[in-house]
Amino acid sequence: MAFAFTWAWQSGSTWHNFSADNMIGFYGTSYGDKVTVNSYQDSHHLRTSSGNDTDACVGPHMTNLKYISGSTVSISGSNETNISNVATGDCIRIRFTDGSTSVSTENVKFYSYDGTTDATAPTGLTPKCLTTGASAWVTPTGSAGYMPMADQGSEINHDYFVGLSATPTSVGEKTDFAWKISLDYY
Amino acid sequence: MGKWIISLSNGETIIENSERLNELYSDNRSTYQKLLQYMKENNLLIRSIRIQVNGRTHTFSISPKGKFPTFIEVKDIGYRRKFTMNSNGEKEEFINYYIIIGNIKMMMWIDENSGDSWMQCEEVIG
Repeated sequence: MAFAFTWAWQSGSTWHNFSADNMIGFYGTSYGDKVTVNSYQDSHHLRTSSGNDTDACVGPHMTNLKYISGSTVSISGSNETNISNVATGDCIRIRFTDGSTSVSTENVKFYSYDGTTDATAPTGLTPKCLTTGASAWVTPTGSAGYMPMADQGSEINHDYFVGLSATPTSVGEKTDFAWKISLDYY
Repeated sequence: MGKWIISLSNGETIIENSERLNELYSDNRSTYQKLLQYMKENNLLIRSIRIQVNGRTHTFSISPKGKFPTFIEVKDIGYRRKFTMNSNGEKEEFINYYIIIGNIKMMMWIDENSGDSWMQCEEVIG
């Protein structure tokens, strides 16, 4: 098995891997609901492709982490709380492994971009992200504004946990928008 | 997928996934981590690195016996791989060799899919 990243979300106590055609959607209260301009999403869902109205979540939906302020969050509609209360199971898990070889990782970066050019910010929205143990949200617009994540020593599985939030700054579906993780390993 | 070939100061040449290193160290670490341990135990240095991708070889040599030897201390020399993936499932894979001279790190990157290569330099802090 070659090295690869696998993105997953937790429902109940089970991690579910994203399928190859899964995309992360940001919605209002329910799947398909629009997010008001300059407000952050009230639910996260997997969808199968842009323009395809299929909710691909399994069982309980993905935990929603909604940006409230620079250091606070609403977890699935709960009252505002410090982001230090975000647990790994509330986040998306990004696992790097080939299933058998121990490697070390460094220079780990997470950011959003327009889906085409790493240095270009996504269009028409403000992205926010966090990782467990952080004290503040990051606004990772383009590769230069990346959120750094910890180097990890020699292990077979390297797990990184990220929470995502976003607000539209104009009306309309946002398709020039993707998240990316990058790391060096040896 | 690319692979590295590293020549050491004792004249040995080690190829990635070398059986010799895997016999010396039977754990599941990458061959490069085993090479680092082997070099430490035997007080060896890297003299050259070759990276082979899509039939092309990219070479860096630091031999003191070269016709135009380097008189500036090389602080470190090694290799790394880079892997990226976006939320649409699109992947990229790169391999490099690097050298650190003074506070400058120079990296020769090779795209493992296209074979394109380029030099990147950055300041080393600390």
